[in-house]
Amino acid sequence: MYINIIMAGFGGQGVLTLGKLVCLAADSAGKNATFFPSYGGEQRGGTCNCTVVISDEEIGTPIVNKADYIIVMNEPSYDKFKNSVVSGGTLIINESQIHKSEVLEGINQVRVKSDDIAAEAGNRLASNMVMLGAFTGFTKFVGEDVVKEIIKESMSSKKQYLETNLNAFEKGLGQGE
Amino acid sequence: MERKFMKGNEAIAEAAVRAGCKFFAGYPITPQNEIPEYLSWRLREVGGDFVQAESEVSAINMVYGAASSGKPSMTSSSSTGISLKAEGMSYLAQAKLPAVIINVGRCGPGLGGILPAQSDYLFATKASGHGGFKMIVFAPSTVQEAVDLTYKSFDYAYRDRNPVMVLADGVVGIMMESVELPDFKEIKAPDWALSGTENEELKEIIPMCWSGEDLERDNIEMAKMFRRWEENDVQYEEYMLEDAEIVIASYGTSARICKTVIKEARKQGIKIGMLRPITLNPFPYKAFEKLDKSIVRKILIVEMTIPSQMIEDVELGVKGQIEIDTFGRSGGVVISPEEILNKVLEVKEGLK
Amino acid sequence: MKTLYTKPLSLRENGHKYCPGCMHGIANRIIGEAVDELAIRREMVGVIAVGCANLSQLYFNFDLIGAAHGRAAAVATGYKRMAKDRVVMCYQGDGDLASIGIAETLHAANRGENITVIFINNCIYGMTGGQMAPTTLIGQKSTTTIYGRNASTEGYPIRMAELISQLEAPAYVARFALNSPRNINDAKKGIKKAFTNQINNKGYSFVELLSNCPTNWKMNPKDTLDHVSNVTSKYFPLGVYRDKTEVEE
Repeated sequence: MYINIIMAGFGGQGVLTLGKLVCLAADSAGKNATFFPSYGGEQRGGTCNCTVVISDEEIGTPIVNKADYIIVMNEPSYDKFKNSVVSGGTLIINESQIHKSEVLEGINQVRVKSDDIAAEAGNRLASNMVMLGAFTGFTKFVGEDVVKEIIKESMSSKKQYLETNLNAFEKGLGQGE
Repeated sequence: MERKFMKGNEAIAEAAVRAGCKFFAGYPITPQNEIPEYLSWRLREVGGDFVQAESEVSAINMVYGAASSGKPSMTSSSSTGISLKAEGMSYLAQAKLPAVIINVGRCGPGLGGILPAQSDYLFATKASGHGGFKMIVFAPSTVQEAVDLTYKSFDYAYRDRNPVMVLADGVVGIMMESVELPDFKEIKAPDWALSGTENEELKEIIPMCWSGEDLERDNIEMAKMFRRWEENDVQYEEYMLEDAEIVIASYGTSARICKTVIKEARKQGIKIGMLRPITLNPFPYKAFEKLDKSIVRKILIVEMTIPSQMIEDVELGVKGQIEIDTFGRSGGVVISPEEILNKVLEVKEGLK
Repeated sequence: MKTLYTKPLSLRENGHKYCPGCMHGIANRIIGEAVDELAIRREMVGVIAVGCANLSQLYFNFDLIGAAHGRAAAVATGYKRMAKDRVVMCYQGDGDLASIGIAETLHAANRGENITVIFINNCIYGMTGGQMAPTTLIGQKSTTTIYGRNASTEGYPIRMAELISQLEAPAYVARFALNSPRNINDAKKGIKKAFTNQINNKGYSFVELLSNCPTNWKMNPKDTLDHVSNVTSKYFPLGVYRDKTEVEE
């Protein structure tokens, strides 16, 4: 296994958290993982993205222009990255915010109403957890139990949000399958 | 060994603590801020201390003071901030004080920008300050290597009583990766340290000499040390070199990106490999010198700086025996595997 | 036979190289006496600045660290943080402390580092040959103000003791002069107090000593004594500007 993933959205949509959780899950399953956040001078607002590489072998570049999977959480990210998926790769789209629908040659599109599903799970802000579920379900990069453990560990100081997040993750799982 | 998924800067900081570092002074500058942030609380947990200095100039001089006590000391900054430490690094060298200096490089010159670059090669390896001193300069390519080299840097600094530089770049600093953290160790205060405990003999740490002959003697000793480094301390990685007719010379993040390129180029049938300096000083001249001229037809230097800086050392290594080409991006633009591959294809085409 | 006068153990046996009539020798002497009387020679570490003050590394008979120009307070900060049982003194002139090193000086004071800073203010750069210092008086001639310091182009002399006493942290800030036996005795008391503060972990102490420079003032040494009384100390008034320890005791 050697996969590149780009995750993009507004600051505040939990894109970086999503990337880190994917890495932590891969790491705990004994895989190599790298996480590279985009960084600019500004402290708040604007779009942000990160690149994640997961592999069983030595990881080369931690930054890529073209990725096997790209998760876009808002329209500016969709516009920016829709043509950056490698041939045969997959674009995972937050359909709650991205209403564009176009034919993109040679790639798969997975549409997830992740904000709405998160709202059903108890908190619209847990949209990134729905995406984490969708990505896990779709790629099976590690077992879903591994990811759940990572979510639990990462929420150990914010236990009040744990149930909602796990709920959102579970609902996401089915979306990707 | 403890495995952890960590940000490069924090991993560097933790590696320093595990190497026995007890003092850090620094000044905020992107992209290395997690180093002082982490050490501000971490050092006090292990009986050390941290000072947020009023400037980079001040920070390196605080390190100079702390090192005089024999306690392992470190500072970090990024490119433009390292310029401000130039005077202090020279003083450390002449006063024979060990210290570790981390440079998480950004683009320049001037204020340049906060984005990653490899524009400090010549500054780090040839003249990091006035007076003709040099430092061992390590260039980590991954977060793990940043950990391992930072950890080792303290040993080299104490062995030589000389500052050591870890020249990382913004990518290594801010990316996250799984690392194996080394065990904790202590570095005991050496006899030269101003410890004020034992005998009645008074001690001095003085960065000057009153007589020209004495200073010249120091210069000669330093020159011998530089020779010893070239004999004993050169480190580099040979990557798929055996049959390579194109050899990439690259270090740090660029070299890591090149590994992806080399794998892809090999799939396309191109005989390509890489010689990656891990110590930029001492530079692996001999490794370049012994490249088989009947096989290697071109060296391609890949760096995130324009114009190439490492070319000055590669040329000294190959002594005009192999043609050299260069490829770089600069200004904070991280070089992409695709564009390097295109360059490789162009070089390959030129070989016919 | 009773010994009335001898060289302090904290000064080396060799004779000094300061210009004839220079008060650095007096400053070294009273520091040496203070260190002996407090019996802290083994604990003592002098952080020696660049300039004429640099020569003192040949005379002080205790552990020494040579600092880069202006950086003594930063060096002292790093050292003292790692060696809390030592008594750390910065010995600096006016160009070093108040010009190139003013940031290090003020920030070490502001952090309340538990160190003692001795400031030799003679209103001129000595070693480099009589250029204008940050404390050069208005109208005073120097090799870079040959018609005298002009406030409209060179600004005003900086009163460091007053400036530092505006900060919250410092424990003790005082200015003395080295031009009369009485003033010298007062200065020595101030220096002892500054060291005692440090030993008792009271924090930062700053002792400014008005000094002279017969060579670059182009004045005979005897006249410099009057000059310190009648001119220098009029602009830089002697006195204690801060003494937190008095309130506590």
